[in-house]
Parts: sequence; structure tokens; C-alpha cells
Amino acid sequence: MLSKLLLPHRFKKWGWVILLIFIPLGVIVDCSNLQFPLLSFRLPWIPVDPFTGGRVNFTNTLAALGLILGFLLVAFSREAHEDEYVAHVRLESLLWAVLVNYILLAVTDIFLYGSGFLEVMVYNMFTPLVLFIARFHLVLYGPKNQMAHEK
Amino acid sequence: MKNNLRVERAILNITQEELSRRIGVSRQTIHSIESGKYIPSVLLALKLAREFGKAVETFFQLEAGE
Repeated sequence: MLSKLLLPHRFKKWGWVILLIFIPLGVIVDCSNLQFPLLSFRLPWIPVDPFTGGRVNFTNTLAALGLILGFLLVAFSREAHEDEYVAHVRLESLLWAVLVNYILLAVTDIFLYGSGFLEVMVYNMFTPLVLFIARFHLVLYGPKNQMAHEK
Repeated sequence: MKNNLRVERAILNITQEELSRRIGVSRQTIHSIESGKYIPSVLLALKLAREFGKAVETFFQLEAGE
């Protein structure tokens, strides 16, 4: 069973906390090219060039890693009550997210070029997880399922 | 496949929440079975039948063409 790969439920709230921090950071980094001076490093595997001296700034990398960690924790933590229907919705949502992601990617491949396409590819690091999380929670907890007092 | 779980549950006069608690599944599972969105596993179908004290065929029937 795939559910053996899932994290305990308590990790989910930590995922949301991490996303609360890193989504604003990611948006700011993307829009304003924010770079924290303290996060400028010389990495041994980066070739030295006369313009940067081989130094890279880790701000956007930190933002990306934080977002990936947050989305993974939210997406792959168990629900409070995990049963066969939840597992079914999880698998269905994973298939849907991958399919929709590649359809969107194909469309952007046709209509976007150059820096615009690269921008989309950056967002594409996260869209499969975002789509999965959105659909999974919408199916489980969305309006059609909110009949808590149905008799 | 069609089911009349909602009718049988109404006969017992229990909520989806109560039935889900008795069976050991989430309320969303009961709701999705009743609305035909989800076909339960054999295990879950047998648990439901045991809870109501009736045969599985009482709740679940194949439709024409299945």
C-alpha cells in the first residue's frame, strides 16, 4: 500500500507553517529579484567566472527549497482519519494533477517562448504538488462533501 | 452498481457520522458511497452488511449491462 510512504498526520500543519513563510518569500524573490547578501556563497562546483567570481546567491534557492518542502509535507502527510476512500481520492488526485500539469505545460510550450517560457518552467517546479493538494482537499472537504448533519 | 445504503441507514435512523464511527471509516466515505461516487471494497461492504445485520446484496446491486 502506498500509504506506507506517507508521513504522520502531525507533519501536515508544519507544511502549512512552512508555506506561510516561503510563499511570500518566493513571490517577493520572483517579482523583485530579492537577494539577501548573507546568502552569497562560493560553491566549489560552480566554475569561476570574471563576472560573479563563482559566487551565487542562495536566496531564490532557499525560497524554492522551502516551497518544495512545505508542499511535500502537506501533500504526503496522512489525513487525520485515513481510510480506503481517502487513499482512492489521493491516487485519483495524483493522476489528475500530473495530467493537468502536462496539458498546461504543452499549452505554454506552444504559446510562450524565451524568458516567459523559463518563468513558467520555474513555476512548474511546484504546480504538480499545488494541483494535487487543491484537488485532493476539494474532493474530500469541498462543498459537495459538507453535509455534516445529513440524516 | 447501485446501492440503497441511504435507505437502510434511514431505517436504522442513524446519521452518516454515526455509521462511519461504527464502521471505522470517515464520514466522507459513507457520503461518497451513498452518492454513488465510490464503490467500497469487499471488506468495507461486508462490514456494512454486518453492521446492519443483512446480506451484502441488500445494499449493493449490479445494474443492467454490468
